[in-house]
Amino acid sequence: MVNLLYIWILFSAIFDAPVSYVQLGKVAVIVHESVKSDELSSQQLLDIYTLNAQNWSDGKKIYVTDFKGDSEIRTKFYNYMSINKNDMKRIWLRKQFSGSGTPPLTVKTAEEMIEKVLSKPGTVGYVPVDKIPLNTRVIVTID
Amino acid sequence: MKLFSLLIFLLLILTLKSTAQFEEPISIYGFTQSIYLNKKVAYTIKDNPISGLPPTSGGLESDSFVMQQLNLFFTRPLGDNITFFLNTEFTANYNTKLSSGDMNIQEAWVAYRPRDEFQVKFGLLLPVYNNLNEIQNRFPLFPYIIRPIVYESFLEQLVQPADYLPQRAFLQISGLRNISNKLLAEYAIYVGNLESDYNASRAGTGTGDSDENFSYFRGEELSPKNMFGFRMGIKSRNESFKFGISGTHDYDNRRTVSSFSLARFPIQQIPILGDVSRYRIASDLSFFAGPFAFEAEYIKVLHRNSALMNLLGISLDKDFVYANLTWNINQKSFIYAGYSLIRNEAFEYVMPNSPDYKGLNVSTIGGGWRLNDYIVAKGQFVYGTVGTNQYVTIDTNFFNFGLSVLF
Repeated sequence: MVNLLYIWILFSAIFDAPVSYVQLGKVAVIVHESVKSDELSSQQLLDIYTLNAQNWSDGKKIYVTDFKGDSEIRTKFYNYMSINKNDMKRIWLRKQFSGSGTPPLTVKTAEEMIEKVLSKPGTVGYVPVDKIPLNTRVIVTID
Repeated sequence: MKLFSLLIFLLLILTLKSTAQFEEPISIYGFTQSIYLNKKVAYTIKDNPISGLPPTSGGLESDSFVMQQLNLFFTRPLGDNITFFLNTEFTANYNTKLSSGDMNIQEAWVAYRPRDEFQVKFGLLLPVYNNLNEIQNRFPLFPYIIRPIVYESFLEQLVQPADYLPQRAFLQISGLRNISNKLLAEYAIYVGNLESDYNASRAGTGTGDSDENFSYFRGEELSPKNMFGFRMGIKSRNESFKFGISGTHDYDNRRTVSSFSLARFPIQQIPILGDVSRYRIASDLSFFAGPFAFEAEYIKVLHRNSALMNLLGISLDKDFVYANLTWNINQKSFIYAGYSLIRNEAFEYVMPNSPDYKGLNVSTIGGGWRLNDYIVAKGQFVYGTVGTNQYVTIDTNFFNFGLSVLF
């Protein structure tokens, strides 16, 4: 029985090796122009992405966008909020299954993220600073 | 009181902003869990002059595969701050042709959330009570296959969940409030029907009918009383820590003696106690510490205000406790150990040395492997003992393997 446990742990460790990342520049948190907030703290962003906060200060609904899978920018953004991907997934799953929140809309590229944020009132997302088009509302910049 | 609840809801409806936007489509998602279940039960019943049961011993063993549960969820935004949610459930190889399993609507509600501090839900809903009640049937959220005793529908013949848990509410107000950089406070209050024992078993007019248990529709709750409940708690912003206290008040239907009691104590004169006022007081604690996840709940059920109970010195009180520790070895795999205990005083007045006296003890160990974001393979061993005394010994083993699949 103990041997089986060791094999299991070894097997798990092999298939769960950490992924290394290269350095990324600044990340900007962007919102639709309808959003009235001028800035957000890391705690407020965490509340939004954990779906604990679902309304902006004026009562309008928050729509959240995120990147699919593992990426450097996602890791950096999650580090800023002091949460890891698995904990976030666990929180979303509970909220989704209890009907108390809908997980973020996920996209593959920064261009898609920008398009989603700019096209729907109340939407928030994050992209590399160098991808931001003109006239986009940036409320947080993460070094 | 039901009228009062309805009036509150109608007032809230009037505050809703009308919306013509239905941009977002309905979302359909769900999960299923299929398992292999090996079950062994060994029992010994000795000569017992009180219960009247003949001395005997024996055992039961079964090997079976079962689609334990399949849930389909439907959600649709009906405006900026309004959401509709439907949760349908199919259990135990549901098949009407083979009379197997059940299908039911677990939840169907509309929520209005104008602010994070205030949300109102109306409709059939699982109320917020302790940590598990609201998600009691969402298997992919749990490491285990067989849930803590009072939450496990497989054990309904042994333990009636309504004795420990509020089953359904119909109006719930809840919210979150920021109390520090790290913590959020959460609250929920709700109202619903009494336990399903109060429901009409059939429809009818009652004309020329001596059966009182009828109404205009089957399932109507026939009592003029309601169940009320609350939960107040705190949680860390990243939800790695959660603590709360919960409570409910309703009534335990003791208007008749249950067949459950009669089966156990066939020759006893079991008193009719009527509607017994019942309070459930509970607390829950869960947290993550590194790779470890701990969760625990305690429920105390108190029965009060029955003159006959006081006269006879009867207690119907109950306790339930469970704790579970999971070690997430890495992102893919985990192992866990858990324990749950029930102490039910309901039958002790009938048989002081009944098997319930020492409670129902359940110990479990298990593990799992997350194949990807959608599939979790699980294994579990459960050992349960139903008391041990001079009259009865019952030991139960469950050995399970299963797959939880999200879709």
